[in-house]
Amino acid sequence: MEILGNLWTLYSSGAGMVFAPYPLFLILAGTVLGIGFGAMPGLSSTMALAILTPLTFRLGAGDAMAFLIAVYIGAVFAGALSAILVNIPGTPSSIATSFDGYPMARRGEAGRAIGLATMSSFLGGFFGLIILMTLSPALAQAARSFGSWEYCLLALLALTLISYVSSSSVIRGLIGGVLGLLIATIGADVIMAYPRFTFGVGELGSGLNMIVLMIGFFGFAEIFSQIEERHRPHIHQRVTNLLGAVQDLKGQAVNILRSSSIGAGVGILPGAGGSIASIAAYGISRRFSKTPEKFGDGSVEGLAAAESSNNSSVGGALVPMMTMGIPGDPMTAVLIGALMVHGLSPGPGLYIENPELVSTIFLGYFVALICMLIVGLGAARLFARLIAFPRHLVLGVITIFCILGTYSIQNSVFDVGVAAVAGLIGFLLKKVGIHPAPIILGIVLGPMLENNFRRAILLGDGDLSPFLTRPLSLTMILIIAFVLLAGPIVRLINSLRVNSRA
Amino acid sequence: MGQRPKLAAFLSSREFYVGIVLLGIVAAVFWASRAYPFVPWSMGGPPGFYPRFLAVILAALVVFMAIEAFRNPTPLTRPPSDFAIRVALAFGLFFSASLLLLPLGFRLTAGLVSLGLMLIIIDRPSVTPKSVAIMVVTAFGISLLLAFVFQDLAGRRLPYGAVFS
Repeated sequence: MEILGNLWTLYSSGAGMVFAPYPLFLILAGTVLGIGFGAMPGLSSTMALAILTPLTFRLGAGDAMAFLIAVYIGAVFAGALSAILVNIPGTPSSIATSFDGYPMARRGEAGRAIGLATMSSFLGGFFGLIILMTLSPALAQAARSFGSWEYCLLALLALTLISYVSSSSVIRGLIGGVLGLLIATIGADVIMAYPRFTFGVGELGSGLNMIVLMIGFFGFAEIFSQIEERHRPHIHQRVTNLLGAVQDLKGQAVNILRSSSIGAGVGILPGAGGSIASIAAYGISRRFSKTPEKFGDGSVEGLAAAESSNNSSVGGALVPMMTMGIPGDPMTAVLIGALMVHGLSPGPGLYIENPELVSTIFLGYFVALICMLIVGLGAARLFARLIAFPRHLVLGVITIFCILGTYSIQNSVFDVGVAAVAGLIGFLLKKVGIHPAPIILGIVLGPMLENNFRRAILLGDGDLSPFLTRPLSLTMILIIAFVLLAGPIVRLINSLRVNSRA
Repeated sequence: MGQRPKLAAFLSSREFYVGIVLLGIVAAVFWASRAYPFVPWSMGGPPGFYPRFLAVILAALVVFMAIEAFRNPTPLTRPPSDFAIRVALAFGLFFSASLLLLPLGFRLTAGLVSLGLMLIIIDRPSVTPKSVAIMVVTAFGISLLLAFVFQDLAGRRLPYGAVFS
């Protein structure tokens, strides 16, 4: 069945599943929860998704995905609130927002900054949705011609890219990725179901649940990190006149369009999420600006660029996730877990066998953007108060969610223990420069990588040459080699230049 | 820096100890998979091949990390003892949740663990009867609220507690 010939079904068949009271309520609730998590420094969008995913297991797949995407969108946007009010980005993707948002707040324009951030987020998110709706069917169609060789290398490419961007060094990132791949081998072997590394423990027979590990690495581990943090932010600004930012949007069309394009493009790259998108867009916006000296001092252009790009990266990140099962960032890794729990696998099959789910995701995304705009403008003052909430109370509540979430996945107390241990390990690994993101990606991509690797050897009867003779495979190998070797080669060339001058 | 001081700095660096742990994991993978059956590739290949392959890659990465660290070691710093104790206590609390959930039930366990964490995090001077009361109400209130929403309204099964049944 042709995916591209069935676009109308892809775009419209989910309308009945989204535009009904219960799904609309779920999307609104997801947006509010996402904004609540994203607004508070220390609580990330990944933590929000990891903790809330187990609570959607009783929902239908469409309702669950619409809810989680609403949480994702709300959380990515809401990092701007604390970035603007107290100069502490609520999420990594709001780092660039603080460059101009906080100076605006300091001169009494906090409401204007929040209004501008909200509207730019909406426009950027809408652009990301258009990219998702136009690009993903075409990519899903192209991915139908991928074989085991291509899927194996795609997983490897994703791990390499995220190792490059997420850790203090590429080697530590790769170590994290390999650790994740090893963790994924615990349990039944993908082809023969032979039990591996179970040590006689019955609960390990089916492996370690990836959502449990995500709650451990992004929930409990973050709580351990927050124990160190004693500073409690105080808000000195009044949040008023949010709609005054409408005037600011005039004249920002080109800036927002350019920044959204950068955001969506960066979001498509595995591992490169909103933080890189917003910083890249901010830098380019400054370069093209007629008033670059205002950047860093409350520039409307800078704030609009940062916020539109980080929200358009959400749409970009969903493209590889839905079409090939490759997470664009840790948040989409959680969404892959959510799909799998409902018995669905991301990839071209999703577009062919479940077009109504794909449509639900598209339409749910759109509705979530509207909710984000309304809630962001209407309840900004309320969410601003959350930022100054006592940290010990917030983390205590998060702990309850973590316990509830980990237990309710498989009604297993073993999972709660696993999450606690994973949290401690994740915290200690972060201390030595190994970020949890590559580990989680390794866990998510491990079965895909091993399955396709062994199948490729099986199909080739032990012959590995198709990895080099198939054009797409060879291209991916070259890209992986470039990513791994570019840094050391550039450093070598620079040191040779320095030596020759000396 | 001469070779001896470089070696001494490397042997007391963070990377050295991380490398030891990672090589221990490599050894554990080879040891644990020593008895896995041999299966020909025409039938899917041996189940131990892929984890051992990953372990070899991990060992190679550890060597690269060691080379990097030899040139530029990161000294191992001891964390403040107060912080280390708090983290250890928090871990103990979270782990004990897995042991207490069945005997005490979700409501009591989640409330106790949450309250315990709040007491670990809060600054000593901020502990007053009023703040303790707020913590107790928050911890058990949220625990009861979530249990009501997910068990009584949504029909999810949460442990009630063996001591209460």
